[in-house]
Amino acid sequence: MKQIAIKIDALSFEYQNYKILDNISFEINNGDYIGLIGPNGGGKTTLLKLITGLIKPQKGRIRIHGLAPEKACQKGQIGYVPQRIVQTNIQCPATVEEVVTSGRIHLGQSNKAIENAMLDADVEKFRHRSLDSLSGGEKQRVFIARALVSNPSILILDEPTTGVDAQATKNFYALLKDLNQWQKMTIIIVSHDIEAVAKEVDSVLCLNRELISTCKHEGMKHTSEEIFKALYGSEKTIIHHHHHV
Amino acid sequence: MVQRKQLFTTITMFEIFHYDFMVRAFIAGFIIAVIAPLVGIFLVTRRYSFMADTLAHTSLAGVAAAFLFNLNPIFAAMTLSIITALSVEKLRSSGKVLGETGLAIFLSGGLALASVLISASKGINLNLSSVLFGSIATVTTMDLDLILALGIVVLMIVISIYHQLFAISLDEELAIVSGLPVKKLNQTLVILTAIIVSLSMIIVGILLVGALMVIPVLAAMQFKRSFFQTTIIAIFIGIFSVISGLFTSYYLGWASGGTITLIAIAIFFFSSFGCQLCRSR
Repeated sequence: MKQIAIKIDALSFEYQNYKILDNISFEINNGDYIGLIGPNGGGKTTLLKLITGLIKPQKGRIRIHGLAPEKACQKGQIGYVPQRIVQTNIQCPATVEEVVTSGRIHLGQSNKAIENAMLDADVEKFRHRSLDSLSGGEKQRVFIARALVSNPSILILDEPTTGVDAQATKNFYALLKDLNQWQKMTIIIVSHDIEAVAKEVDSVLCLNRELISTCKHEGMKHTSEEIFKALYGSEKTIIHHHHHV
Repeated sequence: MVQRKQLFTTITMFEIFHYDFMVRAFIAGFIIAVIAPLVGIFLVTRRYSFMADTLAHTSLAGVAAAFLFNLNPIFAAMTLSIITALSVEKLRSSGKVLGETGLAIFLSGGLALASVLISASKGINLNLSSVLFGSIATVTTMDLDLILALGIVVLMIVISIYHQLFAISLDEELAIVSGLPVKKLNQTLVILTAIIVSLSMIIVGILLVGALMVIPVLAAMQFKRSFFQTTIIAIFIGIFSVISGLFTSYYLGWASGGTITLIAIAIFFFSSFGCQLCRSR
């Protein structure tokens, strides 16, 4: 039986009397590969920020391997790639190696972990290059390496393919698949690109302030129309796949 | 004959060190030249460059209060700038105001308070020009001891949390998820800034304190090196600007703060132009 990686109980969050998340409960098991989809303002980023401890829940409870998010972060259990990181023009002069190393300061320097993270994300060859000399796809891989350097059990990515070209996106999904299959990493990926996500992940969480549905690939074809109507207010096309994980 | 002339020039050049006040100015200047860009790089990379200027303006209020109530000017300036620094940081982290906009309130407030206190201290001997633009002749032995002691403390703290400060400069959210105590690190950074501002005002003056923390860093950033190398280059530019600025200031009788800042700006333009030229080849 799989162990629970993330457990969310009756989670609610509102901002200036506007309900962003309303009484959400779900569980994610170790080794799951989850796509989180929903419209703009549907609460996807807020949910990720709550899971990563960046904001605190007003109601409800989040547990990461039985720990509060802040504690899980301190133990390096969560690797996070935020939404804007690839597009942001970071003013900080830094080499790839410095960026990756900064992901495990509190855990102590480990050259092996740094080398492995850079090899996994395929950024080792430009480790001495400055961050602002890299393309969007290369930058994205650097921040994935940074997220991997603390050897996290959970990897969370918020719209990571925005601003990244098609080939880099393809390579990126291949990397995630490897991490999930070979390192048994739990992955949550938020994306607007429903079709791409549906092709890659094992399960989809559909969120529009409240949790509309959770579905496995096998169940997607039965639920799609109602879910997407509820999510987006109009029908969307989704590609159905049967994955063998 | 040529050798004699060279020897004479050397003696004249180092005649400056026959005066105790110049020796004090050079030692104090050197310490500030090291610690100002060292902390300044974290302000620049976090788009917080105006923090130093804001704290400098509140330091002026501190100096005016010190003259009015007969207190030590550096301590008064430091206390007021630490209070301001922590308030600015609290306002910023609360999200009530965006980034540097919060600084505007404290910058104007500091200057307003200073002008009220200066007008209230009529007849008190406050040399406003040296406070505003810096004066190499005003570094006392007590000032030097304070700059030396606090300079070493600042240096030790920055060295011990350098990597953490780099992580928050790169991205604050990522640093939080990496388990770093970001709130405490931010508070430490602004307190260090407040201390440096108060210590630097004697040499470069209140109006130009920010320049010493920011311009050497901007000049160093033109070289597009690693964060660590940029820090080291910025410190060297800071040291060169201060030392050459103090020499020039002494021999030409110019205000030390203005001279140091102009040299730092010249280095910025040279490095910017030079690096652009190298990259285009």
